[in-house]
Amino acid sequence: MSISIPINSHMLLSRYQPITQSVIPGGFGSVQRVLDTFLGREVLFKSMQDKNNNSQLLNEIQGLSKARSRHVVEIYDVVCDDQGSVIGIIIEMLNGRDYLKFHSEAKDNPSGYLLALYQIATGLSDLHTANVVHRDLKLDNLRESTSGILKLFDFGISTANLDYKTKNNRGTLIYAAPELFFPGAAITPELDIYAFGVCAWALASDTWPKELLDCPPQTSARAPSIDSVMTGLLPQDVINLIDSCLHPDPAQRPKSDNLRQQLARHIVRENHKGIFIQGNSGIYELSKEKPIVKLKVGDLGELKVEYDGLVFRIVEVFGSVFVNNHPAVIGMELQEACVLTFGKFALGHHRQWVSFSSSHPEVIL
Amino acid sequence: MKELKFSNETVLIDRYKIERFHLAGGMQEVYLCFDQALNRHVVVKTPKAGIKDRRFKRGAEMGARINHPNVAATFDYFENNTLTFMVEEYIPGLDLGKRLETDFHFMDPSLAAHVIHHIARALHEAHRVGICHRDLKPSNIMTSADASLNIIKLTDFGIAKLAENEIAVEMELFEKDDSTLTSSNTLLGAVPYLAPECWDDWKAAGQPMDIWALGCISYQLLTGAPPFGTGKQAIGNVIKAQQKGQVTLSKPAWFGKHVNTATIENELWKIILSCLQVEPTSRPTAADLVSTCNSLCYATTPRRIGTINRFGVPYANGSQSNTGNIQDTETGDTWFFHGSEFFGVSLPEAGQRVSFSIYPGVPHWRSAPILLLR
Repeated sequence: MSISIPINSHMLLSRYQPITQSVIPGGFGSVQRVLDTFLGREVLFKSMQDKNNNSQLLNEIQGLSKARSRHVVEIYDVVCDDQGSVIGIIIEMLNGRDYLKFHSEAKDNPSGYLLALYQIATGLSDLHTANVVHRDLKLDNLRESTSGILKLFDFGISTANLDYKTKNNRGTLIYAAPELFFPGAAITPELDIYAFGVCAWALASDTWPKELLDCPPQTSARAPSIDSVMTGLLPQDVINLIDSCLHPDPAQRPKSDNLRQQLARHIVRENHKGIFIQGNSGIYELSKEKPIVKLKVGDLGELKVEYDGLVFRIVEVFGSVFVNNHPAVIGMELQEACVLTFGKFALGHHRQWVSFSSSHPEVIL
Repeated sequence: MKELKFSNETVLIDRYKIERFHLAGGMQEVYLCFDQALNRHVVVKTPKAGIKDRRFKRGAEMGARINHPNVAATFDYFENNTLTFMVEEYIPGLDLGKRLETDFHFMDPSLAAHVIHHIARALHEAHRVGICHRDLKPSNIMTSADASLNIIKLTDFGIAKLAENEIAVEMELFEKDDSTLTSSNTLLGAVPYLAPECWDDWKAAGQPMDIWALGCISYQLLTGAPPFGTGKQAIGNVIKAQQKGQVTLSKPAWFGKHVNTATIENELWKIILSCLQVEPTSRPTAADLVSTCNSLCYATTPRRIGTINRFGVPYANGSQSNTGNIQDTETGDTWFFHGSEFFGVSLPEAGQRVSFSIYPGVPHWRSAPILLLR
């Protein structure tokens, strides 16, 4: 039998005063809004319903203090009883929006959809870098701070030990990766990536593909592509990225850092600027408005470069053209800064040089 | 130096173990500590002896109200009859003031834009919840120690409030006798960044004073020095500008010498001039600034540190190439660079410490932009 532990002055030093007596039960803990009278701010007191679950709380403390991230809820304090046993933690109160109904706006706001996914991926990447697996990533565990930053919370069943073997899977079932349905499943970052893929679905639609409801998931068939609900609204490589998160084989799922990087690129899609400079005067600019430039330098060589919204790519080459001394070939991406040489090496100072640099807005939330 | 309030190894309230003294400002002492409850490093700030009062708590409360990645997080506060301190997020690195003293002569436009953008975002968040920093200066901006200044966080939101009376008194004294501005003065560090209206009525000045300060800091990032000088010279120059109704500044000497950064140079210059409007209401709001910064395009590839090995390869005709190479401090690799990508107070030469980004190339990878470091 589990019992909830509402805050009382006996336990809480009188520092944290309940704002409401109502205790919100959830998962394995209960959460209560309290006022930190020392700092005059509202925070949350989270305690374990069942004292036998204290190891979960200690896991959460370890995870939260080890893996600080702008996309992970902040931990402030640990509350102990008279015997010095941990009875709860004080965490940041997230006052911003939740994402439970985001699916109703996703199709009208694909850039907001990508931004949400980017923020989740960044939180996961920070956790995984600190060897923490969230283990309970789901839409219910995402909320914005008052400044509009999406944060992950509820680490009740996270672990800081990647080799930890789970005895029973306590995550919400739809978010559980197929491998969790077999005995002896290891707790790995790939579980979070799978849950990320399910989040991507939950953010886009209020109905699950039936394949995700199989037990274990996707035994009848692979889940359909996210493009089946976000039809035509996402670039193909984002679709592939999201779809790959749900791959039944954990090894085929992308790493969280890769997810973060790929999604970051798409957030600044079509906002890059590329500049070619020849000598001190010849300037050619590439952007969404002017996506193609053709550079012809006498009889030495000719190069056509196209901006596809993400990268600047060589689409035509004639004659002898080199990029940072590599021979220019069709399909090559121009780096953020490089020099194009027109003319063979043997021509020495009769060659011509054009420098290229590109830039984009920085994603600052 | 006066005796410090805490010695190393002291454990405050059974939780915060003092590891070392960090620094002392005009109003507080700062220590690096280990939070034994949460197993993490934190910063403990305690008011200097004799100035403990309710304003210290108010300052901590102000910081605690701003919850943003560009503002140092407030974790804890404690006071009893003998002890008062606040606990803040620890940001490994140095404050921007120290970075400007020890690392940078000035910043190239991309790096400066990155720093300005982050400060603007922090100010926007503070102003959104109704908090004005009032003492925005490089030493109140923490930066991670890396060459890219990946992490930028504002701190000490409450300190100006704590120093409010001291500053007001010092300003009054200064008006009577301008020899009162000395190095022991609380006002001194703030002077180069103080908006004209602060000299009319420091307590009444509001959010636009933070925007003015950001304009001053932005100028300093690009030139190495605050726009109006320091100390009494700064006061004189700002008052002159106020009398004229406008600020007259020259662009940094190196502006216009790099064709590929001409656009961002102009955009940054416009931002600086807009922040340094004499009339507070003519300045952009922090929200305006964030919106402007969001549209700036600049290079964000991570920076590395190295030393110029050589610059200028002699040609047969006696002239020299405008190219050189850099040895990477971390990896020992050699990177190529072109003189046109060099940002410095002098021409490139062997032995100079520089920061740069690298891009694939043969026979050596290419580095750009090259920023001269101290």
